[in-house]
Amino acid sequence: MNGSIGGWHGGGARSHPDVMTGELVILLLLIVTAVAFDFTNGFHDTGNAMATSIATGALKPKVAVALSAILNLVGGFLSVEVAVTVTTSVLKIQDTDTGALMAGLDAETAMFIIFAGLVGGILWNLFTWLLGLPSSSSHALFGGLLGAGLAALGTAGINWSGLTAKVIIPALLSPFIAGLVAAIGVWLVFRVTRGVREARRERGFRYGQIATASLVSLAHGTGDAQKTMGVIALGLIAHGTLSDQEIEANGLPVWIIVLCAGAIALGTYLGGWRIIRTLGKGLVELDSPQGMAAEASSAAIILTSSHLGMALSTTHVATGSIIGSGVGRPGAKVRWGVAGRMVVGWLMTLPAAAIVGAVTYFVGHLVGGVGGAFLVFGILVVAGGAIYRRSQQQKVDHTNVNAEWEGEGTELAPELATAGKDA
Amino acid sequence: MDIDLTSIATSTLSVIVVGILLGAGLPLLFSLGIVLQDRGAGGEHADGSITAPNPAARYASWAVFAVVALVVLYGLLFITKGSISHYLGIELPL
Repeated sequence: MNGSIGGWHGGGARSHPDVMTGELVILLLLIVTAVAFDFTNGFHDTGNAMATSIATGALKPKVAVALSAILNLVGGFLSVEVAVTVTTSVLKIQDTDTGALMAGLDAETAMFIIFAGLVGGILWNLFTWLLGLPSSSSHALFGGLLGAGLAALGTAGINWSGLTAKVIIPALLSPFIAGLVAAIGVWLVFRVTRGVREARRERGFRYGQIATASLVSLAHGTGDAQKTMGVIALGLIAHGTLSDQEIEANGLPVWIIVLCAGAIALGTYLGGWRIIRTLGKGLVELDSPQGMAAEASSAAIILTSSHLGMALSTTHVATGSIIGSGVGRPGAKVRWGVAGRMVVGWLMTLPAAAIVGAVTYFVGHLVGGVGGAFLVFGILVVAGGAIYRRSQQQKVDHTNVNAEWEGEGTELAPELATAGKDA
Repeated sequence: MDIDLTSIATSTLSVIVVGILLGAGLPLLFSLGIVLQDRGAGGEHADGSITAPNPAARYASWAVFAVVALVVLYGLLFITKGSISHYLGIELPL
């Protein structure tokens, strides 16, 4: 790979002889937390690409997550022009052009804001995963940063117009845009292929489904791994180890790319089975033409929207597409109870992650320094562990991901455990 | 707060138009390929009628699938053009 990128790290470290300070410890914890966020981002979003292929049987569950993981890994490595301005759409702690830290903001405060924001994002991701709700990881991160920023700097630290124009409005519009595109696609597909023999149609569309789902996975790797890379780069900038000029000149240090691409791929491979299940079985009963139309709509929108001046969340688009594929198919049933809970989850994402981010910031700031950072990290580990333990009481994995969906609402009911044993 | 509603509306509209062209157009084209393939195979159909295999329809179906594949390939190159230029130094005119 590029030698100039690899060469950066040694030079940067040499120019800072007093690296083993408290701030470095905070930075290291921040990086670990960022990688953990990236990991949750991976398994939370496996379903966006692969839920339809798993539900229709186009791909076996394990094959689907492995394919998606590889494409996410490739996608992560394709991220060479990473925006370090990741926080600028919600906070005013960075220069919007260069990504440099605002004057007057000290390193520890900046690192604590990012750190607490990540904790808010991770905990909301884990909580929605427990409930089997697809929710946007970017929104969770933005929410966490928003709360931490409010706690640290007050309302003046928030980029309100950016929050409205770049986060809230696109989130409100994207499910409708995606739903419309998928509904039109599905309607056309069934209209055109109505005379085709069922078995041939089902088989033919499986190939199309796998191809479009692969595109969504790749796009996810390029788009989402970048966000964590941007966050880590920002942490390094705040700490003073890296400058925005160095990134401008040499690109990101290669270890950040390796770390983030690897974490998102590993997360994807582990598969957020609970969310895959909701997306593939809970919303609509899917067959392969619907699955293809849904993923084609998702892929087209995710890949083009940012070039057209509107960055949309993968999760919102994928969910909208799947619902649209149910709306557009004559006779198909959408479980609006499930869809309604998702919408509630989306509306809660920003405020809920913000509250966690703010509380975390206060706790960390109250204790301060390395002790505060370890305390925050401890809170994350304990809360994350508790959610994981709860999830194990009702496991969803590759064996029961396609079990019949009972009832109108979301699951998290005892039937699932038994349904899994039968499957 | 300075929120440019016009630019949001314009972006939304272009996302919808491009989304429909690619996101619904490609499945439509693919469906056409499936229909041609089904005709090309011949045999007994759902309505009980029996037709002879039709090679012309089969070739046409492969042509349609090739077009779909090319569009997807274009899409792939489009996503990766930044990286291709970075790693290989090739500037794609996309």
